[in-house]
Amino acid sequence: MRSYRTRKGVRKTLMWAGVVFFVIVSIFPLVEALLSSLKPPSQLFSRSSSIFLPSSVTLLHYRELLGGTRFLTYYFNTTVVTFATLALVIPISALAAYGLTRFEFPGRDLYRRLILFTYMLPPILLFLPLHAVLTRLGLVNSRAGLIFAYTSFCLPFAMWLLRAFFVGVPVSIEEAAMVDGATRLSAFFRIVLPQVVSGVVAVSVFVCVVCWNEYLYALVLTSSAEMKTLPVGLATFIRMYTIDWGMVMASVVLTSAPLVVLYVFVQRHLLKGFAGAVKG
Amino acid sequence: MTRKRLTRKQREALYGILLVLPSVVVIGVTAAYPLVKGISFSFYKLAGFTYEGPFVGFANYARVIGNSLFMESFRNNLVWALGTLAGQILVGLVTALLLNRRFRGRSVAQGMILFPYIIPGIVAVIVWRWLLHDQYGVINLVLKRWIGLEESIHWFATPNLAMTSLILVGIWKFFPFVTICFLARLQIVPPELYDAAKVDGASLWKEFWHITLPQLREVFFVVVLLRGIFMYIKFDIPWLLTGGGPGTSTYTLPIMSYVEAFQQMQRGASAAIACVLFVTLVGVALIYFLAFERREAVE
Repeated sequence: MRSYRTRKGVRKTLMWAGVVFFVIVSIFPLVEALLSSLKPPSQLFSRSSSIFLPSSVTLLHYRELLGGTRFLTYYFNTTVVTFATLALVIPISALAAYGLTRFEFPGRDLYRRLILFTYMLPPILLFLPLHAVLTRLGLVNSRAGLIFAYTSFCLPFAMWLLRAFFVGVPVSIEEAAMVDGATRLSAFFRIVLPQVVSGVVAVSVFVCVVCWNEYLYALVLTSSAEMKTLPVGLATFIRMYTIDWGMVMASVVLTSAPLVVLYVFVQRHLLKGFAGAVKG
Repeated sequence: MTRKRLTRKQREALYGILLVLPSVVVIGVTAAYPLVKGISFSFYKLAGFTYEGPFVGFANYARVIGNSLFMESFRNNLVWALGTLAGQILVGLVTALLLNRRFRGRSVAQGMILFPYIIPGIVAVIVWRWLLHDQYGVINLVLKRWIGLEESIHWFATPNLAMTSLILVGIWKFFPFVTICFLARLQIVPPELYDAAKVDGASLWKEFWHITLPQLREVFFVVVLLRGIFMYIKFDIPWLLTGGGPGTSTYTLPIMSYVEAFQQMQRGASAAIACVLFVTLVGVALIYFLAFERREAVE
């Protein structure tokens, strides 16, 4: 009995050690970025002082970032492109997901499969033709061009995820509403949509995160500093011959902050969304 | 004359088509048309800044595959994809099993473990370049100060080490996706399954092997497929972290495709590389799919 108990104790300690280890591994790089962004330059580049904690806190790097670079322009571009893509993708995908799950029509299953296929299309296959198409349309090096490119993968992605949520809403609720005289459309807005709010939130967050983080299309489709997005802008910071690490760390913190905040607020929705995506 | 009324079935079909129509149009314009364009580019000689040139059949493919850099990139691509895939499956499985236990602060731990996955690739690259910096990086400082290492390790500048460093960063960035997928599945395993094992006094290992693992089978199949595909076509992390170097030790096919298009200005060749990537990808995915189905059928 005693050995059983100690064995259980050992197990518990091991489990805790494992959890703590993986949590530290996951967040340490970001914490280190935050700490570095607040350290005075003298401490960043000396070996004698404390390794982790700042000896004194300075906002110098943030001032330098906001005053001496195009960082705010990048921020603005990323924000505009992200929300515009979201506004375009969510209504279209919600209607389509509803159509795909509730109505029988010829070619439905084929279309469903094509959506998955489109979602899996590698960006590396599309960056060149998208550049060609947008050049022809005169949309290269513009925010509209980026929105066009981001829609190409966000729309199938959102449709695929949303479909899983619509499948989960029992048809009977809707039918009951229609028996009571509601039209198909009002049944959709009043009965079905509220049931999938959690899914819509999760999918919206996913779309925001992918757009916010996207690099390849933005690299290829923008050329002037006025049109660059955060990932492309940040990449130019580390291409310089001498890297201003303090300033770069400040840019990392400000770029990640909205994602972390957003994520903390909607974590519950997200986990449900993930589960839905896996089952779908 | 009375207007002919549609049957209920026809009306349903019409509704359905109207609802999906906007998505068909948008996907057609933004994805399907570029896809066709991209494939056709690989059969034209496009040099310079334009997208016009003579039809050359498979010449781009022959030229690209004959390039010794292609084979090396292909090999690196496989090492990178399989290395990061194996690593993230392993770490994802361990973390999912840990987080599936009940303890205080579980949802906080779960939230924090997801951080690497939600940040942009460029941020992951920057923080790891900083952590692994030759002179000022915390990891080298700690190794030197606490473990007594004499020389800094040049993580990204040593040809034999660069790929390993790259893979480790890739695992760090992407394992949380696997964690969440496994965890979502683990949480719906019926607890009764474990009760029987407890009565029999089965060890933790046996419990894992005979109960947990078989339950994870289907998710495992999907996750390996998805992650394998995503790692195989990954551009940003390798490009930003090592740029293919030192030398060509971490040069991958997506990098090669990008460089051909926007630095060498050989856009037909770039399209050919992208098509090879895609065809090999679809081929492997199909084999994997069939193998899994057959095993399912045998059992």
